[in-house]
Amino acid sequence: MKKIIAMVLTLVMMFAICVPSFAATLDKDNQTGTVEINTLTTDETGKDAEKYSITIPASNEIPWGKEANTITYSVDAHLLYNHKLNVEVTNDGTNTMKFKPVEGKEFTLAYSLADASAQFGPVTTAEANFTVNVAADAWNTAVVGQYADTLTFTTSLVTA
Amino acid sequence: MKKIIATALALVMILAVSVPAFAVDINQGSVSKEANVDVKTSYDEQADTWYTVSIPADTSIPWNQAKAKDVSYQVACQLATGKKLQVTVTSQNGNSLNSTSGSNDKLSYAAAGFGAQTFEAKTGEKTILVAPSVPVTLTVSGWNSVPVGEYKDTLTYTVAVI
Repeated sequence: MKKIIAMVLTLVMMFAICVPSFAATLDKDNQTGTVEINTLTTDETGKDAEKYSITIPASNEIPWGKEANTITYSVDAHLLYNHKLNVEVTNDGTNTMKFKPVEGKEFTLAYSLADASAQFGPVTTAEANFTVNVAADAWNTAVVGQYADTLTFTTSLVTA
Repeated sequence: MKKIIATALALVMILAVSVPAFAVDINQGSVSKEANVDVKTSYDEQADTWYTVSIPADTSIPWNQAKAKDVSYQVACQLATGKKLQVTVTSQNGNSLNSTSGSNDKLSYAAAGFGAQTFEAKTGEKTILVAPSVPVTLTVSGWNSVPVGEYKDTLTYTVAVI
């Protein structure tokens, strides 16, 4: 008995899923009807379709003495039509890379960021660049060593 | 005199309506003792034929759905001999879903079962409608090429007896 009930319920569920609902009946008095088809902004599981990702480099090494250093990251954005993706690259505000040869001793190397802010359209698959500029004077006056700083990538969605 | 004529005409009319027409008399003097009578049905095409076509409700397609969306109709009809029922499905936007945001973005789709499909004079029953031999479906592609949003088309279902 349970098997029969289970089978019946299964069939009912299958029909509930498979059969389209009918809204209007056409006959001699009503020979034309229309149906609107529209897309949702969520997928079949109900998940929001809007998505983006950026892939940033783990680390970048700058050759000693090189003034303009391009760093590349990739963007994959699929947004609502009136949304844009902002990507901003920042440092701690000091605009210096640090070199600590020994505990308590620190040297700095000044640099600046160019093209550190970028905005991407709702459908973008691209590579983007920004530049770490180290002036010749900075290189020439610095103690040779391995200087480092941390750059932070921040993303945000804005309504255009 | 007028009353007599009127009465006579009334009688003639009554007889014409109610009395079956006798074409052949068979009696003892008849050469042939048999005669044929044709029996046939009659119909009023306007009143006696019918058809019903159920069309789907407005429908939504989840974003990124790759499988075909069924927008089939169902049919039952009883028409005059030699007639067929034709159901035509057309797209307002030429088989594409247009952005409702005001942009020119479009999602095209592959249509199956659109255009005209015909059904025999006797198809289904009044309570048992049948689906067309080619299901009416649309399969949307190009989801990754357009901004996420609402895209829309209007399908028109038209019925004609041919």
